[in-house]
Amino acid sequence: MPPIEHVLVINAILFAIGVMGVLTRRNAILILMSVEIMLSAVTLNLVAFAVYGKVEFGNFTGIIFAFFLIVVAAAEVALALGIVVRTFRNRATANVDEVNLLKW
Amino acid sequence: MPDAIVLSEFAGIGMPDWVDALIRLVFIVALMTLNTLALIYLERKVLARFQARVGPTRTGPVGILQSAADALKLLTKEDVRPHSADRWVFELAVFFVFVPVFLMFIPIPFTETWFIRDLELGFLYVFAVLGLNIVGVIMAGWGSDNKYALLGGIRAAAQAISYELPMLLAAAGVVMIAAGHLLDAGLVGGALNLNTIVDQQRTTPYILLQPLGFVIFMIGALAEMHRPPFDMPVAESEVVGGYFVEYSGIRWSMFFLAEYTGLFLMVMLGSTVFLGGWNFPFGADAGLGWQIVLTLAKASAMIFVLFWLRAMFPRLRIDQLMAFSWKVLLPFALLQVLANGIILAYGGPDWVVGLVSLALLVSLVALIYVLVRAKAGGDSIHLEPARPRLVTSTEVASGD
Amino acid sequence: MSATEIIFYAIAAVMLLSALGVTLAGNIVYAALLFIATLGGVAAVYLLLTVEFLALVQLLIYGGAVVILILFALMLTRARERPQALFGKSRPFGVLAAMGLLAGLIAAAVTTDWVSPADRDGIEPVPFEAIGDVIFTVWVVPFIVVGILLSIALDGAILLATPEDEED
Repeated sequence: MPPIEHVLVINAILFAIGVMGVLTRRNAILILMSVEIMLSAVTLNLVAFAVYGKVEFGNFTGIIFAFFLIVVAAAEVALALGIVVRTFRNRATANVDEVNLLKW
Repeated sequence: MPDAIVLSEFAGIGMPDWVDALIRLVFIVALMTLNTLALIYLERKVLARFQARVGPTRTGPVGILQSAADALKLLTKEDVRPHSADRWVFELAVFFVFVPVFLMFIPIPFTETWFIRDLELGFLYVFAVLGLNIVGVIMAGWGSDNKYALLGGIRAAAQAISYELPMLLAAAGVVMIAAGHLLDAGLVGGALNLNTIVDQQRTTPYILLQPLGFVIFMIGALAEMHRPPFDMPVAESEVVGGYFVEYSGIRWSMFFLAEYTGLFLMVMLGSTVFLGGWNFPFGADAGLGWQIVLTLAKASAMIFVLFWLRAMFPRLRIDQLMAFSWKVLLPFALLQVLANGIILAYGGPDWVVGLVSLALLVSLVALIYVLVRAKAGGDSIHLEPARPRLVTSTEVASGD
Repeated sequence: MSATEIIFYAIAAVMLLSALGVTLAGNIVYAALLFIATLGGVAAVYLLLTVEFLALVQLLIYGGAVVILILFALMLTRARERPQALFGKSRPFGVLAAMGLLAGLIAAAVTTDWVSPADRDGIEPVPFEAIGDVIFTVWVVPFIVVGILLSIALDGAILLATPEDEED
């Protein structure tokens, strides 16, 4: 396997791409996908640390955290998509900048 | 357990591990093509018998070449793509449906030593890959730019994610029992390996311990593979053929190949997980010949039951289908997992597990019966089928 | 460079390119399909990091459920029928912010002196039996909490999706 720096840099790029998606897109579902990409990058980082550091530190807690992260991300997606579909039903739009009822 | 037979030993040449696996996969693909032809012919014959017809008879002796003729016709047909269809999504969708179905065969043990790879997490693997082929279905539905295709694709997706859950939970009950047996034998883990699960069923197939699990698994398999009575995604009278309505020629036949291969995979999975695969009743000593015959006989019996169900039940409505999964099957599957957990944690014997599962199955059937009766208007409905009556010519003439 | 490394870099390239596609694609369904490729790449990296269990969980949850839900929501919000601008007004700012973040992260990753030796050939595979053992002993309380969280999320999703008959 490559040295851990390479894995970390790849994950950093993935995370930055996710951030870019969240900041530039206006469709709520696309933003959600970008958030998932960010979460995946974080999960990958945790797993990489756990696997590379297993011999030195003797445990692999990062993998357990990755497992929990995946599960929580699934719950988040289910709820967020429920909200998006609900918003679309009420306001006929899935764009976050048009959902501005509470804006002053 | 002995290791798998390595093909390179047959051929007398050394080859890398992945080439060996690839050759086995190609072998499975070729075999499944023939299997699909045979299944289509048999389905037509069996259905015809159920409906007091004779089925295909013209092509070859007793119509046995009918499927081959159909396949030849499909291969020579023009491959049409609608002008407004999304080119990439439309053409790639076929492969997203087709490839996962074959990848699912990797951990399935046909005999003690015949499988592509003995995956330690084989059970989880099959269900993980099962979810992938629905992506192809949605791609086909969306890429065709046809509202019926889109409706069919969305229906298929809703159905697949609803029935995957009770199916997985039902089969998880078996894994719990297998893990318990392995723990008794002093082993930790291994209960997700399909070959180990079969190995545990030397004397008792798990259908006896998990009858409810088997029934839920079969219902889930029907729904996952869009078989009647759960064929809303491909219902001709509602969505004119569903997600593959715009496909023709070889692409259409690839959808069909995937469908029937998926059906065969489901019954193979059912036969390994619930019916004891190659192991029950003769065991590992019976030799490879008996083992393959046993596995295939169990799979064929299950396929026959699926054909039978097709002839027996009318199609459900889509809302009934979803309600049945979430409100009936899922709670019962969870109940079974809970019951298994409690009994196994307190060291209860196997027959208690089987009895509780059977009791749950009986209550499931009773619940369905009560629900259907209530829906159909309580006691006022006639349970006796209407008998066909001969109408005489005088009755017709008098206008009765 | 060993075969594993070549495969790793190839998968990483596919993963990053498709992730870039998700954020840049002009067609919303293409973005969703590229998202699947990204998640597949992540699962493949798990596999290369010898965590097969996590790779299968990723496939099962993301490939089987999350992606389907996202595609479902796309169809329900009629992504294709109404073409519209997919990028907000803050686009230049977003790109700049992401670049800045990326520079910081890479600088941190490269300059830190990691304990793990970089030139080791193989990494030790993590047995999934051990993962299961740890989850159900050391981490059992978080596990139960996650279970409760999941059921709350499920209830919430059902509540959100149920139409309010009084309003109509």
